[in-house]
Amino acid sequence: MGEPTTGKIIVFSVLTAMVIGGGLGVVFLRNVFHALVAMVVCFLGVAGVYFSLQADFLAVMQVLIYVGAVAVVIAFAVMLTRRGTMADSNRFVASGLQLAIGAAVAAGVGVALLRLICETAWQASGKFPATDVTRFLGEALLTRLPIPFEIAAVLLLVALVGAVMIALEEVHKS
Amino acid sequence: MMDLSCYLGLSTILFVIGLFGALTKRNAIVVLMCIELMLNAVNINLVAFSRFLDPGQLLGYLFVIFTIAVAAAEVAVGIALVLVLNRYRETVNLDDFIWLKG
Repeated sequence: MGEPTTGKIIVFSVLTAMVIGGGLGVVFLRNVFHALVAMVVCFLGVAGVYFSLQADFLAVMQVLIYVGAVAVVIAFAVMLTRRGTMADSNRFVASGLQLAIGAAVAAGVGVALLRLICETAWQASGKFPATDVTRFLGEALLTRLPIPFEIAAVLLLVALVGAVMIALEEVHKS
Repeated sequence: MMDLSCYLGLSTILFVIGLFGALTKRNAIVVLMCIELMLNAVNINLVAFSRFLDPGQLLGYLFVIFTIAVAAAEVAVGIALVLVLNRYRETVNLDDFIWLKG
């Protein structure tokens, strides 16, 4: 594995700050557009985490799909929907009970997962992945796993056509 | 190299933030964003497991590709639904969508 050097610790700290800060921003910023920007920061942090795990292809996909496509689609949704004031568009639920239940469930799941992580003895293998991860992924998808690959393609096609059908419905009626 | 528990802890925290938001926000678009945060937390988990426990196979990386594809499809359909609901009710507040209530 190698010893964690100071540089690696600094990089990991910065990425952690981006991911967690962005996540908190999505939940706690009052303006929904600011929350969207926080989500983009979080996604970029996740892409950095992929880079630090030698998954460079996944990091590029993360930037292209999440930061490029998903964020833009959500930005369109924010701009096309009607709301009262933009500055107060990202509120919590009105009932305090629901808020308390949500916080309790989230905290419970978090504590349980962290305890599991700390108590499990992980059998870390000392090996490193092959240097050319992108080549490995391409060969695996097109030789060993062609059917899941094609199913994913069909799923995307069906989802996009379905999304267009759903969104167009009202235009025909009016 | 940082060790596996650091990455798992990071993804747990991100998952908890997303879960809390998905349960307590009232804007449908923000709930979708929180679901994306949870999916990203799961992806970090898969990549970290694959990198540290199974570097010969890297099946986790392949899983992440499919997760990203499904997440993109989910966002497209979810946003289309939100837009249609917004057209009917002129709101994205989840508390107003109670048509299925008996």
